[in-house]
Amino acid sequence: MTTPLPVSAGDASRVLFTGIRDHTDILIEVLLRLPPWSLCQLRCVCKLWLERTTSSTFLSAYAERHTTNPSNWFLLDRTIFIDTAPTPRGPIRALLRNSEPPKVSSIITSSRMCSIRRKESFYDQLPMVVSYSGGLILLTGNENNYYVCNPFTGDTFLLPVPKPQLRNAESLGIVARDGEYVVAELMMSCLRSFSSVNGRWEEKPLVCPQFSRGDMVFSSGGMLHWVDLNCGILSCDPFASEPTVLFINLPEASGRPTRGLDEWIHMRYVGVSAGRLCFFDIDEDDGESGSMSLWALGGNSGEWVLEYKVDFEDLWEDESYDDYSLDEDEVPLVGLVDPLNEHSVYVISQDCLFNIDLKTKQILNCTTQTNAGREVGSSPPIACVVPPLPHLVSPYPSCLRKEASNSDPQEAGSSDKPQKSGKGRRRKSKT
Amino acid sequence: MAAAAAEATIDGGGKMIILISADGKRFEVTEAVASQSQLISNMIEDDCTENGVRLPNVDGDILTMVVDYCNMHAGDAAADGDTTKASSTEELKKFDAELVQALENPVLFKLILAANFLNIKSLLDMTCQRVADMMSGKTPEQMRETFSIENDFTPEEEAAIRQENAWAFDD
Repeated sequence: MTTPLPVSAGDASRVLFTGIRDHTDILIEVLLRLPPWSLCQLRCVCKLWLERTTSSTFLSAYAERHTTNPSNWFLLDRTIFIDTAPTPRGPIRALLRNSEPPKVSSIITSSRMCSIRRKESFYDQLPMVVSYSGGLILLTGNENNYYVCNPFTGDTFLLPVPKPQLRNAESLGIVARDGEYVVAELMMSCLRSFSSVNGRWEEKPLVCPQFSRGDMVFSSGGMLHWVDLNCGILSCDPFASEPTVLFINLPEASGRPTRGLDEWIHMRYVGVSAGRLCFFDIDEDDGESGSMSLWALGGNSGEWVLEYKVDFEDLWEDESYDDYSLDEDEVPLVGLVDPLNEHSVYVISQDCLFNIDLKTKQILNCTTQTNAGREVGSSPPIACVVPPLPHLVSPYPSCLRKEASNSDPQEAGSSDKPQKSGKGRRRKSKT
Repeated sequence: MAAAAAEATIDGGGKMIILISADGKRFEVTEAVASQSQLISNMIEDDCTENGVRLPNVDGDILTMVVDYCNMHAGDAAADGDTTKASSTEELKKFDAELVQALENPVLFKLILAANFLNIKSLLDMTCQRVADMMSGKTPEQMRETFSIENDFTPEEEAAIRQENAWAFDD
């Protein structure tokens, strides 16, 4: 009865699209439903559309719709790509080069973020992504410098150095909430945190007896979670003046590392998918070929529920396997879980990132390189959900925001852009 | 007065209303079905549906689809506590997906106009989402072509906007 819509619009399509174009109410209804990528792209269609999609009324309606129902995410390589081209003057910037999953996106920055003088130890100095939350990235440059950046605008803020210095990147996390953020480090008896509200570091007492070590840190729902893959998840609200901790044990999974405790990170993953905490586990000793399990923290009971369990054997038997050269003798390493669909997981085998659908037991895809041309290797990328209005998230502490937006040398050159007249820009968001 | 009218709506779920399309076709539906349209729901409250509701903006073919849609979804709001609801929600989703996928573009547009005029939120949501899905992934050039829009930016202006939104351009 129907034929698929050709990209070049025929007469029939023209009725639909020009009709919508000329009907403002409906056009707005449609634009509100676009994912953030597309919304940003259509800003350069024409002046009228730019104006409509950057008005404050539109932006707040858009934010409301997409906050509860995120539609975009990207896989982010932890290693930051250094562009060696001559650096323009002005502040250091770190920008996202975006590709849709299963492709792996990268952060590109200039060589100024890592020390030129210490080139001999260049590989120790590569800037790394430490943590991501709601449109902000915590990254480490050289010599214990930490930056908070908005990779969509490139805006980058160098965090003041606390005393004593930060211990290690593994125990640090960032969490964004309601236009503010906190960077926090979990210590033996306290939480050391930098808040964008007051722009300084402080220590808050915290009692967490059961916790021995942090294998990974992630944020969800305005909370930070430290994970000890051997026992459980420690959650706390670092925005609180007297934070309390909540400890959740991991489910009784059978997989155990055979090559030492450092291997946990290759066998287990904890994250958030479709709004639920989930635990992804690979047991290489289960059955003939090993198995993978996905658990989610269930609704009413508040207990872990085993949602999917797939033997690798079943995967080898599926015809989708014929397209990819997975090694049947090697049990893959844990990668991550798609933050929007919990049945879509990523594993790593032979330096490739494989996307597997646990529901259909099929291999969907395989990625070997990031979009900056780096080998995927054995370190899994980070799952980053795009906030509804990524341009409006500021890495600057609120006490400095006004100052920062007035004193930017690059701002002046582009200030006659039509956007500038839009009232939608609540906060600094420069080119 | 308003309270009394609301009560009558609940009690009189079985009461029938006549909808009349632009080309004079008549559709007899229950109040429960018709009041999914906010426009008609307001008319029911104001008690002016006695002689049928004329819809001069909606022709018969489109109104047939709208009425089908509303009949399918009438149980939606009413069936709270129904144990079969979970599976029927799945079925509804499937029905909706098939309906919207099968539409030819000019029909889709007319259906959007009808949903907008009648103010049927869920139908408007579904049809506008369909158009948004068609648009997403298109480059600005393809969008201009699709919508027959002229580019009124200077090359410098366009380059500046592109740079500002550089992250959204997949390379």
